[in-house]
This record gives sequence, structure tokens and C-alpha cells, in this order.
Amino acid sequence: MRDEERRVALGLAVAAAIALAFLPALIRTLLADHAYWNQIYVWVLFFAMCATAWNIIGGYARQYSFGHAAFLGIGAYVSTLLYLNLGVSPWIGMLAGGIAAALAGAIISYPCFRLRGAFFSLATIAFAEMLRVWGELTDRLFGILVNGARGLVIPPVGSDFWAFQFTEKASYAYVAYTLLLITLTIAWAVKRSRLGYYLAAIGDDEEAVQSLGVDTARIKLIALLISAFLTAVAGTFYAQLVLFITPTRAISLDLSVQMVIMAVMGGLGTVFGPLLGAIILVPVGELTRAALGGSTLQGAHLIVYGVILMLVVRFAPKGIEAFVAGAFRRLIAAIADRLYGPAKAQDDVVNAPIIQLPEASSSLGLQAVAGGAVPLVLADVTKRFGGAVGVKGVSLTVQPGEVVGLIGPNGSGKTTIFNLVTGYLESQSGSIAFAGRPIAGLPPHRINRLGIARTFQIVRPFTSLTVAENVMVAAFPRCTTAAAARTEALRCLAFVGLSHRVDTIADGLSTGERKRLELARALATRPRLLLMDEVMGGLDQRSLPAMIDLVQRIRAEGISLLIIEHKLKVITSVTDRIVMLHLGEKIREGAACEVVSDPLVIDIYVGGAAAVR
Amino acid sequence: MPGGGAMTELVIQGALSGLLIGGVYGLIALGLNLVFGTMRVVNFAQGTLLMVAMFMSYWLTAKTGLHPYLTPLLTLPALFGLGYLIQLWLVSPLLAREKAREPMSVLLMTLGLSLVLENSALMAFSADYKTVQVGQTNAVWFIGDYIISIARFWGLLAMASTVALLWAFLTRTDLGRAIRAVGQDRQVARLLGIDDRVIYNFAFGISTAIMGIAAAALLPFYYTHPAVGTTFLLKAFVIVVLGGLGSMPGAALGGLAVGVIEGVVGIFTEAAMAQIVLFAVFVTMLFFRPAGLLGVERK
Amino acid sequence: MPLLCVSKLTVHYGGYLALRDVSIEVRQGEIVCVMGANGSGKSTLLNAISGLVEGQGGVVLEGRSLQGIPTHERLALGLAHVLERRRLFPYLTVLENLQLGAYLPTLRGARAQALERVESLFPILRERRHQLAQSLSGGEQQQVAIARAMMGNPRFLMLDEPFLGLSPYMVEEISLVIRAVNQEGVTVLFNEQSVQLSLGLSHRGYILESGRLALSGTSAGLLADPRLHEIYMGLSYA
Repeated sequence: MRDEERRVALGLAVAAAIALAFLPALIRTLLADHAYWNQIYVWVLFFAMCATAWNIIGGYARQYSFGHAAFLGIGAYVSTLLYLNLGVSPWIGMLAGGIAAALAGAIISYPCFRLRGAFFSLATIAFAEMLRVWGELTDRLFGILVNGARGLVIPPVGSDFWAFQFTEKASYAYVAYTLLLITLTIAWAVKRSRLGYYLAAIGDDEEAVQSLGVDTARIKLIALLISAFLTAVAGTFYAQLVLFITPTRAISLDLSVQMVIMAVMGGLGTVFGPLLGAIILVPVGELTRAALGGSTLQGAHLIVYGVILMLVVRFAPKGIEAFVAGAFRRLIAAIADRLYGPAKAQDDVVNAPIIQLPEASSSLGLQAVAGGAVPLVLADVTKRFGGAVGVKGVSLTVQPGEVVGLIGPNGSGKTTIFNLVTGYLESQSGSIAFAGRPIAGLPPHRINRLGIARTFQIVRPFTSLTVAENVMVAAFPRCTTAAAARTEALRCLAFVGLSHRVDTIADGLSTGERKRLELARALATRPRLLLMDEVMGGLDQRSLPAMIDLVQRIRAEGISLLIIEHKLKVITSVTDRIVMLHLGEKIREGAACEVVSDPLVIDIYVGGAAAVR
Repeated sequence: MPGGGAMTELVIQGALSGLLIGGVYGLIALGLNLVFGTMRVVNFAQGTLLMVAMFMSYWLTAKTGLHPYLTPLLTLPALFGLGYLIQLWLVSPLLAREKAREPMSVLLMTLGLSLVLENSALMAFSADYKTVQVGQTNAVWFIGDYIISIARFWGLLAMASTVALLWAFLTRTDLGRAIRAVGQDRQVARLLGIDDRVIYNFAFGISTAIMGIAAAALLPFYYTHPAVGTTFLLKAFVIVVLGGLGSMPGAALGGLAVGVIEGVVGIFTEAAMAQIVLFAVFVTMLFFRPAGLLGVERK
Repeated sequence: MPLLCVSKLTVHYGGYLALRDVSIEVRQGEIVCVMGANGSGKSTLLNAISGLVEGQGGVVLEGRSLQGIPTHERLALGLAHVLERRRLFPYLTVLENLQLGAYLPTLRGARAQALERVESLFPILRERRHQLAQSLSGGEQQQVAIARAMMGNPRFLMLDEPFLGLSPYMVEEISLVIRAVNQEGVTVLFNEQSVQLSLGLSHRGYILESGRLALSGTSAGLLADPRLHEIYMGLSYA
């Protein structure tokens, strides 16, 4: 974005903020005599609230909950019960409901977050349905009347702010408008915070996030708590709006599904997508219902929702927010052109096939962090997969500051060792220690925090984030602000020679760039030991010298290295020592040039594998 | 409060009734499992397709006086075609686009489909419960002191024979073996000349056709109404997870187990409580053994 | 005319250039091997020939271009492909795996004879018929994989790393089988890391390095070539 465009965008934002302040009054005037439209307007705001709240866990982190109505129900019931039994104002009950829903979220998160994809969705349905049925069957809870399936009625008291009741329906619109603004602000703040970056990265590739020292279970939990709280707040609003709640209505699968549909249609993981979804779907649904015979047909709007969902999934999987945002950007550009003259044609960054590193070796200055002698010691480690052996009785040491190469044919257990060291696999026997403390059995993020970083054989960039954001995810655990994380990210990116690509979406990178992005990401976690899994694989021949140079520079930062590599020329030029694996066992270890000229090693590489034993 | 002996009898009676309806549950889970086992997608519309099948059978019975048990002769081909086309037109394009092995977009697509079908049925036929009275509806057998509903008994038999037929189809015919092969390794299947996309269409078609049998078995003793699918779908999910994803015998046994749990719990407390118990079992299973009791561990 | 002619084949995976301008040919009745280190593009070459991955360039089998022909229609043209690590259907029996080898309607009629033929080639399979494929040893699985491909009555057979992880005895067995299959008139193209083993078995060989063709020639010629060792161990990169 040009500076001129930024100015225009700022201007528009200010204009929008002013418009926002007057919008309720405007809409009120317009809808004053239209009770029906006013009602639709309130429902749009309500559903936008729900879908925005859902989106924080469902869209940001791609954890498709199909049971969010449970949180809505909890919010509705807690505030209503407090009001009916203790006379507590629903405004306070709203917060209590939010806290109760967050607690419920914390409880279900433990079993649910172990599940992936559709299974997570099914588990959330199960929890919501359990709550619904239990609610329908329960008349009294600890002696308090909850009235089962018959539901609770909130007696009307006329207009009373503290009772959260208004005779004039427009007042509900004001309340909903305010609550929605708060919800959107929180969603926006989450998106912009480190939490937002973590969640987006988790949505792309949770395992890769763990390798960067981030406790993904905790991050998802926090997102769920926020999401549950906000959904419950919407639930209290719902109760006060209709003044009659039943488990059947409030905790219905249909309601959960509608939140999902609105967010998917608007744009998963975007801040304003769910709002757009609600703005379009609610009126369309209401109009359909009206056109097809009024309120006797509960499901008419759901037909429309279903059709729209199918169309969106098929033809616009990113949702409509992408189109709206695109149109907005073009509008801003057009205004900027009009005001400040046309933009200069920008040079597209060419995707250079050959890697070039910056001339001056800009040090990362990691030595200070590195400090201390911290060897990695594997002793007699064995890992079997079912019947097959992954690695068998392997002992291996990486001394501080040392560069060790791990070689061997396909399936000899090299990557298995990486996965064992970084906590992605657990060995059956043997011990793994780093800096003198056993690390076997620790989760990946803890191991990373101890100072071990890794890259993956098949690169795993967070494809929906930009290059800089990818590295920021890794830098965040050690930075206090987003700005600091970005600075750190830019430093790491400069170090690997990716400065020209910082604001590109990572999906568009070439293989060489992806490999370096992963290195930058790993370096941003400030490792003392870095495991590199075939970082030279798939590179152009002419890029190899630069890549070797990069490895040397990383080493010069005082980081110990364990490197898997097939090209013996590469490995002999960067390593101090080589360990050769074959069929899961360590068969040779020694100085690089000795090992590669060893007849047995040559025989395995060049001659028949049959020659061994 | 009944005495100890009477209690035992009640429990056995409950288990027996549950076992009998469990046959129908097993059928629905079988359909869900066939699609999941073959293409690793969850068909959220499975329950709704059962509802469609029930309305087809109901309509045939009501209009032509055909016995419900004979309706599959007509509904099976129609349902097969419906399932085939759903896969061809709605699911296939998504599978071609997605890289993920278990894409969520298919879940959303079938969710959309089920919303459309269920609510269209609601508009067309209203929410009224429709029943069909035939000879089997209220007929019972007595075995000792226990009552066996004949209609439910036929349902169990239908499940058993469908499982047997399907098993024979999957192991004895080329198409059946190809379906299993595609579920285990698409790439290799292609190299052997199997067009995996066509196989997917067949798997979806067969899975939908099985709903025709379940519908015919249900019709004499169950209400036909637009929302019937959701009830059964949720149970089918429980069954599939209980019995093991992709496991045919698992689906059958899981169905019976769910029926028995329902029947027995229903004796001690309100019938709806059984649902809570089922979901609790479901979540526990997902937590401790996601592959199910008979399922194979996946990598 | 060669049986298989690959000309200027280039394959990209995303931004990764897996194969660049590779041209090879295989003549009727030959056994030809493709060698190279891990990641040199050996498997990609075979996968592109059978259509599992898409590439630019020409692949012509018996004078017929395979361009645009989907993978599942290539067996009918006489092309069979055994993937790396055998890839049997693990929960099907050996017999079912073999039967699926002759899935094509045109092959079903002669399935009994084909079964007879492969079981005489691999006598052990007769004993294992009703065992689940996953319960077999690696060598047995490789035999089933080759037998399954032979059920399709191919004229051209591709084997991706057929010796991977096998015991010396099994390596010998599989070599014999490949020779026997070739004697029956099937042209064979296979991949292997080990030079000695490959060239001992084949008439000619190609050596790939980082997705490009580095060397080619007759087996005897290649074995004598001083560049072989260097390329092969990845000791050169400049």
C-alpha cells in the first residue's frame, strides 16, 4: 500500500467512525414506523455478534465448533436464573453467564482439542446435545427452578434499564449495536495481537507452530474462552429480547449451525466476515420466511441458508469478505489516484531462482543467548513403528558449537531421530538429554523453549500468512510487542536473504525461499541447537554455495547443528563429524572425510545395500 | 419398586427391545461408514437422506397401498441415483480441489444439503408425524415372558441381511473389492485401472441406497417426519465412533450396542436420558480410543 | 522405434523443480535402470510416466502419446507401475490384491490363467493366498506387488525401488523374478539407488542428479565410467 493510499484509508476510517456513531439514530429514523424491519435489524446484530464470537475459535484457528449454542444457552440461563432468583440485574448476569460459559469451555476443551477436523466438530455437537437434553429433563437444579423443557419466562416489567427490559424495541437495537461493536473490537484486537497470529498459524499447521515453542493447546483454550464468553453475552441479550428461554430453542443445533454458516459465508478468520454474513443471511432468510407463508414455517430460511452455504463452499471458499475487501482496496487506490495522481508502476519482485545472500554478514547476535555448554546426548534410543524398526539402539552426541551430519539411505531413520529429539515421537527405550536434562516425553513446544529448533523435510510454511508474519509467530514468545516481533522477524529474514519478500503471502514462495523461510522461523526462536532436515533438497545447483554459506553463518552465531543431508559434497564441506545410519542403526561415526571414504559407506551408497550383513 | 426378579426381567426386556431397534441404527451407521471408509469424508446429510428415503416409502405406501417392506424395490434404485449424483455434482469438485485428506469443506457442503432437504420436506409435508399401519405395526411375539415387536424383529433381520449382502458384495465382486481398494490406497488403485472418482460415486450411491432399506424397516413402527434425520444422524455418529471408523462389523455391532444402551437406560429413567449416556460414551470413546473398538489404528 | 520414449520431461512440485528436461528411451525387451541419490528425481520420472504427477514434455508409449490420458487408463495401454514400498492394499488378502491386478473388464476373462501364471512365478503366494497383505514380510510383499502388476498383463513394467529394505537373499530372489518377467517378453524400467545391483541386472542405465540427466549408457560402460562415483555420492555440485 502506498503512503497516499494509507492516508485515504485513514480518512475513510475516520469517516466510517463518525458514520458509525450516527448510524443507530439514522436507522432508528428510517425504521421507526417499520417494526418488522426493526426486528430484522436487531436479529442481524444479534447473529453478527454470535458469528463473530464463533469465528474467534472456529475461523481464526479453524476449529469448527458445531456446539456454540451451548455457550449461548449457558449465558441465557445464568443471567435469567440470577435475575429470577436473586434479583441480580441481567447486566451483571451477562458477565456471570460469560464466565460460566468460559468455564464450560475450559472443561470441554480438554477432550475436544485432542481431536482434529470433523471429529472435533462431532465432539462439540455431542457436548451441546448433552447439555440440551439434560436441560430439557431437569426441573430443579440444587432446588432452583429451571423448569426443564417448559423453559423460563422473564416477567415483563416495562422499560427498566437495570432489568434489561425496554418497551421500545429500538432500544434493543441500541444495546445490540453496542454489544456488537464491543464484540467486533475484541475480535479485531485478538486478530491483531500475538494471539491472532498464533491462531492463524494454528489454522494452517498446528504441528509446525508447536515446533516454534508455542503451546498450541493453551492458545486454542484462550481463544475458546474468549469465544465462549462473547457467545454467552449474546445469549443474555437473546434471553432479554425474547423474555422466554427453553433449552430446545437456546441450545439448538440449528442455532450452532447458523453461526457456522454466517462465518463461513462471510469469510472464515476475517474480522468483518461474520458481520457481512449476518447482514446478508438474516434479511434474506426473513424475507424467504415471509414470502413463503410467515412464521408457521420455522425452516424456510434454513433452505436459503443451506443453498447459500453450498454455493459458497463450492464457488467462494474464502467467503465474500475477500470480494468486499478487494473492492475496498480498489476504491481506496482509485481515490488516492484521483487525489494524488496515479501511482507509479511498482516493480514486481522477481522470483529469483538462484539464492543470493546479503553481502555483509549481518550477525543475529545470538551468542549472548547461546552461552553455556549444552550438548545433546542420545543414549541407546530405540523406536519401533508397529513391527517395523524406526531406529534401534542409536547413541549420538552433539557437542556445543559442533556441526554434525546425519546421513544414510532412504528409510534409515534420520528423520525419526529428529522427531524423537523434538518431541514429535516418543521412544520406547533409551534416553535423550539436552543441557544435561532429560527431554524425552516433553511436548514439542517445551523442547523448543529449551533451545532446540528444527526445520521440516517437507517445508511447512503458514500459507495464509505473509513471510514476515510467519517469522513473527516464532519471535512472539520472546518479544513483548508485535512491533518488536516484526523487527526481530525482519532481522532473521535479512539474515537468510529474504528481505525482498517480507510482505509476500508465504504460499507464493519458491522451494528455495520456503526452505530459507523455515530457517528464519527456526532462528527466530533463538535456538542453541538447530536440526536441519534436508535444507538443500530440491535446490538449484547454483544455489548450493549460498546455502552452504548460510549454514556456516548460522554456525558462526554459536548455534550447534545437526544436519540431515544427502549430498555428500555438501555435508563434508559443512560438518565436523558425520554419523551414518543404516536400517535404523548407527553403523559409522567419525570425521566427515573419513566416513565418506569408508568402503562400507561407499558400498551402501554406491554398491548394493545387500553388502551389509 | 419391582422386586429383584422383576427388575432383571425388565432389564432383559429393555435390552431386547433396544437390540431390535439397534438393527436399524446399525444400517444407518453402515451407510455413514461406507462413505467414510472409502473417501474419508463425513457425510452430514446421511440422516437427512434417511428422512428422504422414509418419505419416499411413506408416499409409495400411502398412494399405492404397497406394503412398506416392498417399497425398497422402487426406492433403492432412486436413492442410489440420488447418492451417485450428490457425489458427482457436489462432493467430487471439492475433493478435486482440496489437498487435505479429510477436508472440512465436504462436511460443510453436506451440511448445506441436509439443511435444504430437511427444511424443504418441512415445507412440503409439514412437521406432522406420519405413521403407516400395517399388520406388523402392533404385532408381537411372546418368548417366555418377553415381548418381541415383530416389526422391530424384521428391522433387525433386514440389518443382518444387508450387512451380509454388503459384505459379500465388498469381498466377492470386482466393484466391491475396488471400493475397498480405493479406500486403502487411491494411487495404487488408479495404477490398476480403477477410476477412483467413479468408485466414489458408487460408494456414495450405495451408502444412500442402504437408507432405503433402513427406511422400509422403520416405516411400520416409527414416525416419518422431516426432522427424523437429525435424531438418527447423531446416533449414527456415536455408533460409528463406537464401532470403529470404516469398520463394517463395527457399525453393525455398534448399532446393536447403542440400541441396548438406550433400551436399558430407558428402563431406569426417562428415555431422553439415554441420549446423554450415549453422548457421554461417545466423548469418552473419542478421547480414549478414537479409532473405535473394532477400528484400525490410523497413522 | 523404442517402446517408451520420454522427451524433455520437466516436473514442478509447487516451486520445486523435481525434474528438468529429462529424455530417456526404453527399447522392446530391455531392462533399463534409473539411478541416482535420494531426491534426484528417480521416482518423479516414473510417476510422470504413469501419470501420477503431471509434467511438461513428451511421454510416448508404443508410438502413442500418453498426454492427457488419465492414470487409470494407462494399464489398458500395457503400462504397469509398482510404487515404492510395495503399497499393497493392507487389509485385503493376497488373493484379493492379485484379483484387483486384473480389474479391467478386458482382463477379467483370463484372470484364472493370469493367476496361475503369477503363482507359478511366485510359488510362495499360493500358500499366502488368504493372508492379509499387511501380515507378509517385506520380500513377500514385494513379490505380491510385482505379481499384482503382472496380473494386468503389461508389456511395459516399471518398478520403483524394488529392493528397498530387502534382505540379501530376497534381493537375489526379486532380481531373478525381474529377469524371468523380462524373459517372458515384458520390458522393464526400474529405479534403484545401488549402482552395482542395478547395473548387474540391467542392459542400460540412466543416472539422474538433482533432477537432470547426468550420465547414461550401457551397464558395462557406466560401471567403468570414472564420473559415476563422484556424481553418485553427491560429491560434485559445481
